[in-house]
Amino acid sequence: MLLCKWNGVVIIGRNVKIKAARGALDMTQKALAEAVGISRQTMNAIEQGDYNPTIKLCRAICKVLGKSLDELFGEEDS
Amino acid sequence: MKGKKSNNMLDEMQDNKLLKIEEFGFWLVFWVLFAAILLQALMGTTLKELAGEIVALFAAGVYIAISSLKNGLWTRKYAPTLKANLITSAIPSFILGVLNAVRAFVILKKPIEFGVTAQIAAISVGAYIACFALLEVFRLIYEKRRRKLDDTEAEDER
Repeated sequence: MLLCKWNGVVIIGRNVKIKAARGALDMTQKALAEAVGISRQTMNAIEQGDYNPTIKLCRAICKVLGKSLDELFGEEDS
Repeated sequence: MKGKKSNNMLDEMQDNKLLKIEEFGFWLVFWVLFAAILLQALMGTTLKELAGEIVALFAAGVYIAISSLKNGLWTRKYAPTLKANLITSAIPSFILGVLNAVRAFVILKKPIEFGVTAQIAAISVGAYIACFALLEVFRLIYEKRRRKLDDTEAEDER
């Protein structure tokens, strides 16, 4: 999930940063989902921007991927 | 995310979805039960025969009301105001009036005379006053509870 600003409105978009960080660790979506204790369906929904995870889950994903909250879920201006 | 101590087999998204499904299921049962009571009442079923359904509906209503007030919640769409309560109270009063009128004049085929009409009107007005009084009591409890919860949260900020 990425928070993007478009015409001043915050929208939820696809989270390519998670996918990239996961790819860098050669980790599948399923492996990441298992590592943070969620289903692959939920992990996929987060990456697609269809589900807005809680801060607790965001932190768990960051911990597994070795990234900060800002790096994975930080706001981006577009 | 699954907690270590929790027996919940679902993650947070699945849990949210299940909660939404359960919420929809609850309101479906609530309104179907409400419609069933109205329909049975129209067909001449007595209050004694409807006791089970009424108790079930009443229990659900009481639970929703108490839980909402305890958590300082009102409705999603309307603010708790005197005007909103005056308007909302008219809904059950109107339903009861129509129900009694249909039952008296259509089903029981009573003659349209002053006594019967006055009785129906009196029941509707009584229901209106009772609903309005109840909503106003709820509003006072809500405002008191809201103040208490906001004060507690403000103390935590210090």
